[in-house]
Amino acid sequence: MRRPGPTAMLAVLGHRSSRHGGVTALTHRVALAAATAVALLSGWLFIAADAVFTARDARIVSREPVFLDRGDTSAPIAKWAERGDFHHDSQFIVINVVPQRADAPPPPGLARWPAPGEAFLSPALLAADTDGELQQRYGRLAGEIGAEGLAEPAEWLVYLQPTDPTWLDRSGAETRISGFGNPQVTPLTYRTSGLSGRTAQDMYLLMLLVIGVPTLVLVAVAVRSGAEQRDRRLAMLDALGAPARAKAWVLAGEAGLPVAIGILLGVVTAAMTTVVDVTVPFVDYRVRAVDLSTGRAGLALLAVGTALLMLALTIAAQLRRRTMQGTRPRAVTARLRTWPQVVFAVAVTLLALATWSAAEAGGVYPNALQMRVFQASMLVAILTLPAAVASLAVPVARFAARTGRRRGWPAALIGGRWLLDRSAAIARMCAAVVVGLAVLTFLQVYLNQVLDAGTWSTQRQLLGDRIVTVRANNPAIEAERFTTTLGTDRTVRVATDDNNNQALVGTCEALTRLGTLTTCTATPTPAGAAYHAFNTTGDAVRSGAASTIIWTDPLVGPTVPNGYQIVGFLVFNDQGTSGVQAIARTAYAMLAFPDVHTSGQYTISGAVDQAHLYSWVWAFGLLGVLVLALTTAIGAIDTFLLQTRSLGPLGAMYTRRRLYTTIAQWNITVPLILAGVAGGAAAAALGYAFSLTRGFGRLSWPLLTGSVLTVTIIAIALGLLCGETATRAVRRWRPTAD
Amino acid sequence: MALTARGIRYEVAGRTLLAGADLTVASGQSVAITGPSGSGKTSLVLCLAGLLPVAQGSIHISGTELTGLRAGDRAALRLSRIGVVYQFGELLPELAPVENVALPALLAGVNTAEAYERAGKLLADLGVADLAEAQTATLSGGERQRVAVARALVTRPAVVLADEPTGALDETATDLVADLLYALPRRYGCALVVVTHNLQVAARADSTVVLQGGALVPVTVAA
Repeated sequence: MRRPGPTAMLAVLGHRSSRHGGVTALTHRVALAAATAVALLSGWLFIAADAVFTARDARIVSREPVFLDRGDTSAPIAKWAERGDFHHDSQFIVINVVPQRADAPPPPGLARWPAPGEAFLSPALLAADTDGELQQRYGRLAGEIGAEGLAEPAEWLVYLQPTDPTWLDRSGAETRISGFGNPQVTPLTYRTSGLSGRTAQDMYLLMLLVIGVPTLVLVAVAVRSGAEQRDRRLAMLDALGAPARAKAWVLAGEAGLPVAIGILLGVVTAAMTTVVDVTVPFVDYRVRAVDLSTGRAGLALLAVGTALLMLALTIAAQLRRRTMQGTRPRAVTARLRTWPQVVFAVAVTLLALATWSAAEAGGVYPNALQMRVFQASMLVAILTLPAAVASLAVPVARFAARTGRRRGWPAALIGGRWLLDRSAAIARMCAAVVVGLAVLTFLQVYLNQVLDAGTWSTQRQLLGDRIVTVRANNPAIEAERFTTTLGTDRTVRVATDDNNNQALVGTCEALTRLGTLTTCTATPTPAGAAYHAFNTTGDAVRSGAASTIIWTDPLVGPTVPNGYQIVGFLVFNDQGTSGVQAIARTAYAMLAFPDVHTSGQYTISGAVDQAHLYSWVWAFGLLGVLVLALTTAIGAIDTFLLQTRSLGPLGAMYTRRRLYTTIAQWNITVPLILAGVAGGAAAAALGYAFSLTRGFGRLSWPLLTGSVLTVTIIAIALGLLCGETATRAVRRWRPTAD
Repeated sequence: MALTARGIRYEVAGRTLLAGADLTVASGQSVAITGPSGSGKTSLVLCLAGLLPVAQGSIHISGTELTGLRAGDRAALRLSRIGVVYQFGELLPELAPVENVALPALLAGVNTAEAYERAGKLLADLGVADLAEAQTATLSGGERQRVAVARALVTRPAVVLADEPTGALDETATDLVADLLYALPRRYGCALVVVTHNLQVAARADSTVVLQGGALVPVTVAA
């Protein structure tokens, strides 16, 4: 018979102990496989993000025009000018093009150049244009922009040729281009909207926080699941004199198959995304399989790396030598250590000091010393929070044990004693809940701060879309026609001189919309003298809050003052959104690449952009929450299996379900609810403290209470499940020896 | 001397179990240690095996001081020079008996063929050759102990420590295991230390000591 050598025998020993170790070993195998798959997929997210950004940047570079210098006499292929436009408060880029040669290749993604008065729109923008207003705004729809001409499928973009091709000659900037494929694009996120202008680094940071951290917690819980059985086996090997290397082979043999299965699951799932397009929920962002296909080599390396890392972590987590305290090979101590609680207390003290200092200053900037101290101490506080929360279980456990003993309640006695002896296991079980709540709360407050900065724009609150600003290049030529078309009683021209003095030029009917005129003056007059009183709109215009092209208290009058040039128009609108759309259509039809926007719309679009980022956080946050839920379930089941083994002999005497369900509630439900409530309270305190440091931002109580409620429901369900399983396990228990 | 222990002191949870215990065992000799339950017999065996740290004193195995070694070096010394037999055998249930026996030899660097040859021969010597490939979990108490003895001997140790090796056995199996154990010093030239509360088993040793008040006191056999 062929006999295995020492290494093979040790690996086989580990493998067999994994296969024949009962429910505990099965749980460990499942946990390890799941954690491996999640770890690999988390890593794949980074590779995928890199592949998406690389492909996106390559497409941006390939479509970026190469401009001819002013002195360059080469024949251009086209003239090119860009302007921003808005749809539902989201900003996007409109590119005005006029081909100069019949054989000039169109921009990437276009089948041909647009004819005068024609426009190509990106598919995502067309999909968002539910009422077809945008198609009319730019003239005729020539077609859709192809995928190769878009940074990403969700991008909003327009290529159009103005009705009058000579408009581009008025641009002060260089407009002649010799071709496409200019790598000098800064930043590469320019002209995209799908990722809210965020860079790869922003995305990596977000993924690290909301997916990376939960994955680390899951891996930590998984590698130590079923640890008592494994520690006992290692202690037996230690008693034989087995060196660390030998024990490492046993552990590798035990972990090998689950890790391999996890890798297989992860690789198959990740590989699928290189074949089929995937849409990210919440943000509706389509990730193109063709972009991810470049990451396949990285996926192979990731698979090997993840497998080695998981094996190394599994081995490292078990191999710590412990000094024996008893007289038999025994399990590790499961009592909580005190140092994490001390570190937590120190971190909370520092955090409170930083908060107090920042609040005294009325809020500080993100790079202030107080914020640095706050961030560092908050990170430490979050990491040590599980141990601190688990320490709360100790007095509860002591109370349960005493009550159980005094009143003769076996379940409380057993559950209480067990909790006292295994507070470290409780900390592991609750870690996911506590860390998850803290991280989500922090993110929510952070994003709320970002949104607060823009959403409640005073201009929007005051004026809504009552004033529409239309900016254009040298619009004096079309000013008369444009003003007449829209109505001289509601259109005011804005003119500026070389010294940045400004004038509002319009009929008395139009100027009356700003307040009560002293008299219908025939000459330009300072606004303060021209008006008897200003209304809300007038005040907003004079203060510069109403429009991006008004920045100083203007002259007012019916004619353009000498030395002044018309730079744009203010159009008074009382027809809501449809009125704004009609003004935009007229502007695009009559003016040289206009910029049409309502009061505060630039600020609002920034907030909308941030709201989009908020959606990204929730898209990734959902994955993080799923990982945390898996971690909690593994931790709870592992904890309960420890309990079930020690409950076995009790099953020989008493098999009624109620006893075991009550014990499970003491050991699973109570600690988890405690973790949820205490973790929620700690998260609320952290979130509130963070809002104090910046001086603004709000805590979302519905989110927090909803999270705690969810944890409570999960805790009750897990307690019932574990109680039922314990009942069945003790009924099957028979005494055995190794 | 195969085993020399001087002034061993061991405390756990504030209790002093060993307070200056001395023990010397020569190669080819056997010593039985007796004493009431809770007197610290098992702790003494584990201290001698380097599995428990002593607070004071020294232990030498074949001239090498065990007490001054790091954990890894203690394990290496245990592997090469000490064999331990526990009360319940403590076999690895996932391995067949012959694999359980061969394992320490393989760990010690003995080549595979020789390790299994030694294991097979020891199992045959101990009368359980036909159980070599059986499922370990199905072995009886006596069978498990014989396999455990074979495992303790496979690395040809200088010292064999047996902790209550007959504690879980019936009278017949006790006699069988005791015969096996006390034959070891003459047959393999090792030193044998047997911890037992069974006075009949203890009486078969070359000498007997009793653990009293943390010290080992020689027992004088009445003529």
